[in-house]
Amino acid sequence: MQQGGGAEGQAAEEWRRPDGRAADELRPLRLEVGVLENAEGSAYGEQGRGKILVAVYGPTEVHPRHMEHVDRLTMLCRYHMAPFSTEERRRPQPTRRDIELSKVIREALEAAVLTERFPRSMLKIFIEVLEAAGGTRCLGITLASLALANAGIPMRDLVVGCAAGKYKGRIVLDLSEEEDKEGEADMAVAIMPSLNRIVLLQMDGELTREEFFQALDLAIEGCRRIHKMQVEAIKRKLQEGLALTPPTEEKE
Amino acid sequence: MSLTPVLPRINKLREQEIRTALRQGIRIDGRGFDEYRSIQVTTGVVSQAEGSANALIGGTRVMAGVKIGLATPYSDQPNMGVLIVNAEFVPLASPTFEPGPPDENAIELARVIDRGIRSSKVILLEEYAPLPGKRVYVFFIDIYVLDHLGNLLDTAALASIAALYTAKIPKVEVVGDEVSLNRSVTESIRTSALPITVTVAKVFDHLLVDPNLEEELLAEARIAITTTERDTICAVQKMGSGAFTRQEIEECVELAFKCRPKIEEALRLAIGHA
Amino acid sequence: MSQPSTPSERILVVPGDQLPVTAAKIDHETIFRENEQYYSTVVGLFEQRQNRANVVRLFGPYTPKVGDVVVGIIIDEVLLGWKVDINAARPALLPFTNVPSRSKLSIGDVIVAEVADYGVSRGVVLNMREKRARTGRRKTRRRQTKKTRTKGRRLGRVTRGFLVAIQPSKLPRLIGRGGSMISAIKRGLNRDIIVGENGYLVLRTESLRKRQIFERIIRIIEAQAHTTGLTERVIKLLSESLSSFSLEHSSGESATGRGSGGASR
Repeated sequence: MQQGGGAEGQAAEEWRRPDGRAADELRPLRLEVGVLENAEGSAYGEQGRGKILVAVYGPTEVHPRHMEHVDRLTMLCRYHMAPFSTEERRRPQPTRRDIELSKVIREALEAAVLTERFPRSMLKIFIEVLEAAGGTRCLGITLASLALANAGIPMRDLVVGCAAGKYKGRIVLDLSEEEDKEGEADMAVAIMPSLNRIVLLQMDGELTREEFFQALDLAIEGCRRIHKMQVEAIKRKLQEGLALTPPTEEKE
Repeated sequence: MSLTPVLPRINKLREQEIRTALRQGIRIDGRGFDEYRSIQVTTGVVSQAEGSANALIGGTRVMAGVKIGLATPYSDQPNMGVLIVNAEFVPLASPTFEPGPPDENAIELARVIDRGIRSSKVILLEEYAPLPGKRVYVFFIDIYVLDHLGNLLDTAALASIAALYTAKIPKVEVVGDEVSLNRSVTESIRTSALPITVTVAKVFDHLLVDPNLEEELLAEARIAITTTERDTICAVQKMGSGAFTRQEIEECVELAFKCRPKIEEALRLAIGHA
Repeated sequence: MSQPSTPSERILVVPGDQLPVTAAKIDHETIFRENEQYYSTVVGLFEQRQNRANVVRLFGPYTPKVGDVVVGIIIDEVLLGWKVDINAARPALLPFTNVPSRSKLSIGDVIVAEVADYGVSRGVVLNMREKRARTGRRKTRRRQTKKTRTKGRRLGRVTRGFLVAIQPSKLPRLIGRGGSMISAIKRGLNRDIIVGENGYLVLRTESLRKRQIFERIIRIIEAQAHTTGLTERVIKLLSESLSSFSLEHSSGESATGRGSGGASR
């Protein structure tokens, strides 16, 4: 287990964050696969108070036609937040932040999807934040990857995201909204865990070089833990199907 | 400006199947003409909102969030709080929804629900004007469609009412000319009016309540009737480019009152009224 | 009754899972290789048979192959022919020259056709003539195998029946080893079923009740494709559903399928 950066020994082990967590502790996380009927693939997740729903549609034809690629898939990714997702009501129109996040998330997922398999086709990924609580782009990517797997889109690997940062001088994992707002730095990371590659990395705030890599390694460690939960979520979904014909007859 | 919509087409075998079933008095999913799919309402689903609810009718899933703040009143209604109902048909809910601002369907849905709320006086906006002409409460009801399997209107109406009923309305503090909301002291809505919307679709001349996706696509027209607990009708909207006879309208009103109890039960279960 | 489970010689894998490949040949669609390691690209069951490793997909779109017999829905008319929805990423083209002259087709029709040609970038070309049109590649041996399996399925327009869709990845399970599952369902329902390899199926019946039973079976197969003992469970479900059904109908189905049968669930 990694300890928070900076302080050592007993003092570090006893230090608790505002919500009671240790420096390297994740917020409670829940992941569910295949929750919508219309979408080809979908996933829902809760991380702390955050709630995100992701849907994948496709592959389908590309509209408008000029957006088509003759030799590969066109991916459309939309990150969007519901008006009631934040403390102050948010207008439904996309903000510049929404547009930037849509881009980096798409790029992260494109690194994993085997896009040459579906030339002249389109894949749409919709990420809807129903309740915001820090780390939404990371949870969004984690869920999008599950939704893609649920839709049967071939990928090199799952993609999983987790954030880390610096709060009150310590390097911490999975920032809450409070820590995000009041901390000294925050870093969003997404990786392809089996292939060990980083597909998203954004940081803002100020960190020394040593702190930077401590945060990065901590975030990667967080990603790996969440990856295990992703795999469990997929297996659980398959298990659910068994409930349709249990040993004792059910009523439909 | 409104254009004839391009809708998915149903193949001929399926259309034949549905026609034959209806002639035999049954719907394609086994329901009777006056039967709703299973209804489920849950509240308190999103904590950032003052009130929130999730409504499920069959597979159709709609979420509603209530956000409450202070605003300047409309100049022609200085003594009334403001109610704004907005609906987002987000693309994740259906292959037919495009990203972008609300289209005419989303706008119509929001306005019909708004009328149902205003006319039934679920919320007495006159009671929410602490500084008339200057500062009043503003209630935002944001409707979020999550999965479209037909009959968005009834589902959205349910979610909206449930969210409104369980909303924690912050008390207002007036100090001279300054008004602020004290979010730690809250109260609930003060009325017990319960508007409930029932949509009836006319499919091959049969009247079907709670149309599913295919029935909606095949319907020549639909009508949504919002009734109150006082046995009155407080909002009606005919939708689609077909027509109803007067006789059919009577039957639809009958159906709206007939289907009310089951929907009301699901709603009361969620909002905790006896 | 034992709990259904995953067969032991197959491992449930997800994208990125490293695979213990020992076979010489691998299925490049579902397994990719990097630095001497093999990884799954999909959610599915990893198996190695006859020196070939592959992952049996549990989800995913229909991927067309020349020779496939598919059920399609005509969605548009263009200069060279009909645009047909075949449950794939893009619609297929059915050229007018590949339609028998006597056929009168229109938008909304359901048809049975074969994939005459397929290029990953250019798309699918269909043929509805009984004799193969001269387009594209020939794979004679493969064609013969297909013909046997579909029992010389007649191509053409479908005028009656119920169209039901199954996830294409679950089709092999619907058919079963040597056709065991699909035969059992056909026998149980006492009706023919046109199986499109693209996941569109047509149940040849006018009975709403049989269609409801069929749909339920499809959903169960979709949900439990990765388990053992599925065929037995489906057969059991068939006989249970039908015996309650036959209590209401003493004779087989009547020509018009009277309304009383529809009142049951």
